[in-house]
Amino acid sequence: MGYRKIRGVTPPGQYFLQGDEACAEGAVAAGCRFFAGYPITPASEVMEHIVRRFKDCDGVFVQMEDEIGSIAAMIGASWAGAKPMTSTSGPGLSLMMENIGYAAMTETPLVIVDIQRAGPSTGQATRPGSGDMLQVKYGSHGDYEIIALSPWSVQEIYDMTIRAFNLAERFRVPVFVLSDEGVGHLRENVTVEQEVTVFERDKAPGQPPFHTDEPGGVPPMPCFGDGEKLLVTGSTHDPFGYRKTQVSEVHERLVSRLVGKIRNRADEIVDTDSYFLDDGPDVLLVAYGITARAALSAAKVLRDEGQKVGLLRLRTIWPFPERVVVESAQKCKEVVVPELNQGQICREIERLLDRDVISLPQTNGETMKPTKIIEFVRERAVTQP
Amino acid sequence: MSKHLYKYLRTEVFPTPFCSGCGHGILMGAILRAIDELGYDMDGMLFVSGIGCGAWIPSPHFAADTLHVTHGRPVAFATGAKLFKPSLKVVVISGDGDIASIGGNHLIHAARRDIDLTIICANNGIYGMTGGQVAASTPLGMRTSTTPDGNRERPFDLCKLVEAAGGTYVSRYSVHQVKPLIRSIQRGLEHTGLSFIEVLSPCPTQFGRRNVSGTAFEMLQTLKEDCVSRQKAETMGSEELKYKIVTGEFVTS
Amino acid sequence: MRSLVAHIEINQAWCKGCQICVEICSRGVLGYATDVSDKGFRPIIVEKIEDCTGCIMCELMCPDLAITVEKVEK
Repeated sequence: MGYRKIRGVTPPGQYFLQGDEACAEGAVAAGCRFFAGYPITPASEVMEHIVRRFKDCDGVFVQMEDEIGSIAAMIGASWAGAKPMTSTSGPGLSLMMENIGYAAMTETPLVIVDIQRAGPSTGQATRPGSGDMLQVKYGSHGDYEIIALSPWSVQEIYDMTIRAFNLAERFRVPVFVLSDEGVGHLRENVTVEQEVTVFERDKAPGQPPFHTDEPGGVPPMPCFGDGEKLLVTGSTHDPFGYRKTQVSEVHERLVSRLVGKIRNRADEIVDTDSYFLDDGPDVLLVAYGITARAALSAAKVLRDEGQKVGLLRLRTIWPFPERVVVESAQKCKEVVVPELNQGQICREIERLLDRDVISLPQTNGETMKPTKIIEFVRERAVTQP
Repeated sequence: MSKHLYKYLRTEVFPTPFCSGCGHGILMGAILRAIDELGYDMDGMLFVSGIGCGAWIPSPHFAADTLHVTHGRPVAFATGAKLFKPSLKVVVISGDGDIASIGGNHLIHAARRDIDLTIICANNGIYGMTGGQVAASTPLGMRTSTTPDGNRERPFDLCKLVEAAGGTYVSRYSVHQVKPLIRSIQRGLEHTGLSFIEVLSPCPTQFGRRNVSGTAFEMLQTLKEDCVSRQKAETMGSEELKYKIVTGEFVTS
Repeated sequence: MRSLVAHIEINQAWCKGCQICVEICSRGVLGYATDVSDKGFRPIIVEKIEDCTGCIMCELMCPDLAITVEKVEK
């Protein structure tokens, strides 16, 4: 149990794929054999592609009656032993919220792909946005933690989807591939390796499925049909799953562990990428997803003009890369956060840094152009002494 | 309950949390007898339930895998478990509010798919756990905490609903008809495809005291008077049947 | 006196005193104790076991799974 290398189901080589398709390929490579979904633009291609791929590997697909049903079916399948996935976008994600909290509470591994589009509400169904950055973390009621990864390329959505499954299994938690229409509908080359590293669940018969003596640890996860007589409930429960809804200490201990198992291991999960940070840039761009591509182009142009601009790219959104952000921002004069929302991640960075952080928001349903970032930084450089 | 049936229970959690005289306990016993008589191994069974009194019938009382989920969603959770692991015998046991109101969409789609689940709907005609509010199954005219002057909305006929949606075994019994009920649960469990068993289960605390009587036995007597068999109903006129509940097997394909 | 057909055991820890068993028995086999218990009701007792036919309706209809009827081996 734990991490091991397996032979992938897709022959190794170069493939020219759409982001949504690469995501489905990554899922199949990671061992996903259950998909429950509901059609939604711009995420439907993930579902359509996985239907095709499941024919080769005996996967189980069901198109449910709505997104509430999709995530419910995934949780049922996860406890029956599956590595389950769904793909959706904002409106579907909103419908899933209650059961995302259920999955967090019952420590059910699952992967939710959110190909973000411009919201709120129906918004612009075919256009990109990054409006769900906070919703994936805070959308369900109560205190819990999830993991969210943000790819910026077709190769990365493939790799990150594999990692999403491994993290889901390793930490028994819902993991989001928090992409956007820009990456989801992009077509690029993807390199598929022969071997894939996957994480397999530790079933540990007889052990309590909802407790471990290790502080903030992750208990083993048995599955239905193995004679374990499992009690799985979204109500407050003791180590063996018995409802204890009137006992303060049980609730405190459970919620603390659900939160702690992610927060305490943030260093194992958090993943970032940086460009031009070695020379202590004056301006630090912090970006993620499709917008990070524009930010990198902008940084290159600005550096050619002689401005000291660096980029910190967030590959993990949740748990938030707090330490890296604080360290990277230390010597910079300005921190600029371009993003396809009204400053969701900017606010998170502001919370960490004892200084002003500049938001560069865009909510017009288009991907951000490098020129927007270039002009903004030039303007700041001119006006700031 | 016969001691040989104790093996199906987590006896350490007893007594049950149900109110005195709640029909859900009678249904609990009937389900376990049906399973015992069929000789099923509970280790191969999964019981899925939602939120409400009815959802507590299997969880935590049954010594089997149980999945106690969000309100209204047990059928969808069960669908995923069954599709991924078809060897599991998957049974949904939950209340009328859970299965027929907030979860009504999942119910009709499970029937449309004719997925191999057994759904047992413990119908007490009211939201018991939350304090006796009107339900989609509350009969016309009945007083609840949100219809103090009597319910003016027609209730669902759940069996007709599931039949129309494509369920391939559909029946309705009251807990007072305990022997036919056990037989029907057995047929439902043995049936391949979607089986739906609506079980009328008196709620003396929330329904009875506002409408019929607070004593469990009097409620059972009233149910007995209100129920007519499918065979007898076929000989009765629509006016005669207006306030009657038809019981029996409706679909056995 | 005819021989007993069955024994009835009542699990007082599980019983909530709903009285369904007392009312449903056509032979009046079950009754009530004189004193009220800590739970606030008169516990159910077996009064006339000699009249029991072993039909197990009390067991089947007990919502608390608190009644066990065991047929006497002949």
